Amino acid sequence: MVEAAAQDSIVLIVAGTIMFLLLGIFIIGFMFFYQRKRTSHIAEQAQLKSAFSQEILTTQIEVQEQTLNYISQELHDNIGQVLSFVKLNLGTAGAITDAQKKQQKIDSSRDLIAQVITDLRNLSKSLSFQQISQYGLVKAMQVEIERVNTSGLLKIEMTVDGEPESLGEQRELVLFRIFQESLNNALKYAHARHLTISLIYAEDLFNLTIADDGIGFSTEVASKRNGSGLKNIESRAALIGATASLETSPGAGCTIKVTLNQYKQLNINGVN
Amino acid sequence: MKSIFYLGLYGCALLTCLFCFNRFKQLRYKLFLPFLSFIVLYQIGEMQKLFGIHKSNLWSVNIEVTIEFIFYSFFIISSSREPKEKRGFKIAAWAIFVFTLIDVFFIQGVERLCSIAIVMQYALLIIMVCRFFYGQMKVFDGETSLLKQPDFWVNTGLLFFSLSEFLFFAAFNLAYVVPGIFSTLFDIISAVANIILYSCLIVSFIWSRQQRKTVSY
Repeated sequence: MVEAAAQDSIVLIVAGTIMFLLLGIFIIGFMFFYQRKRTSHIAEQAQLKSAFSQEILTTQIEVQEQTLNYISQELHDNIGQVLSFVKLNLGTAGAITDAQKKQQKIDSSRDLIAQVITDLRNLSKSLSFQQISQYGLVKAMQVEIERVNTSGLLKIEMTVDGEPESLGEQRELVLFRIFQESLNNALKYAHARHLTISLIYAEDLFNLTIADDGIGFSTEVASKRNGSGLKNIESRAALIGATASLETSPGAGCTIKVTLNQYKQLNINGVN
Repeated sequence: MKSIFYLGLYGCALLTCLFCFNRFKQLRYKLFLPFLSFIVLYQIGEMQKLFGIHKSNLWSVNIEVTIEFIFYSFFIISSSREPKEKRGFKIAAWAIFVFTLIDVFFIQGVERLCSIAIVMQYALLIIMVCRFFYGQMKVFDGETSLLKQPDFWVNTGLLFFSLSEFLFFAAFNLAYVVPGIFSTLFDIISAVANIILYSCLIVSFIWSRQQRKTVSY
């Protein structure tokens, strides 16, 4: 009987040992599985980080290009034209015998050159992405709005609720780019006369609303034709952890709202 | 036949250690040489039946198993980076060593195997190995493969060795009841456990050598 009990115990020992060995295999197997998952996760993170950096770089380049386009336009349309007129003035001044008329020509040329100097000074303050980080989003937008208002193409009003604070260099760059794209759309396609911009800085939320009184459009038609600009706004907003919404219909203008939770981490996968 | 097999296994591990000795970066790997030399010498002594007293060599097994425990436990402790954890495990290891002495001299006796202490030794080794694996999981960087880490192999060998012999020693009292069957069981379990442990040690020595080679180039 004792031997029978001992035999049972031996069977238990063998079974238990096999179970323990299987446990050991499970532990080692789990470690390999975990390492594989972690390795692929790290690679995925690196890829997403790279894609995010690429996207930010693209945004920086686009802002820079916009600035250069504006400068080039100003030089050609405004400054170039004024200097040509000054040259003409001074060219014809030499042939005038009347001293008073000659002096008037010279004075008007001097006034025009003074205006050119002022315009060039203003141009030198044109924005690049580095200036956005230096002056902040609100100031950067104000400079852009002032330029457009001076041109007379559009009347823009901006209101700021709450105490403006830095949202982070990359977020502000992307928001500024969204603002630029909306402004371009309002100027080129919307035939708008007025643009209203509202920035709300709340305790844990930031909201940017851009509304124009243009012709509006059907979002379905726009998507079929060339919706990349709108898609860009949405994907860029998602990139910085914000949500973008678009409200428009034919004849009712267009309103773009971008909402950002300030404490959210930047979503490098473009998803909230 | 069995003894020769074990001697061959231990000898292979010792020779591999000797071959890779100059390439070992860490002192704790270098200490494998004297340790494995001791194991080989012990096996030779066993084969020559030098340790039999009153037809029992269990007193020498007690010493050999305890030395193994001290070596492996401090090997694992030395790889830990957290001071609190190191201290905790050191205290536990010393406590179990003291208990081993108590078990040998006061509880089970010198001529019987200190199976209670051995079970506790293996339990601590299993815990330490699992803790090592948990620490490894936290530092996975996606670059170094687990298979290329020498410490991984040593700990894997120890895990399987401790797990496979744990229940056996927990039920060692049966050895005095049914010595014939228990002896067969011991042969099988011990063979499996030692093959796993010493194979893993050999692989770990080879990888230590490879690592050093990579670093030096």
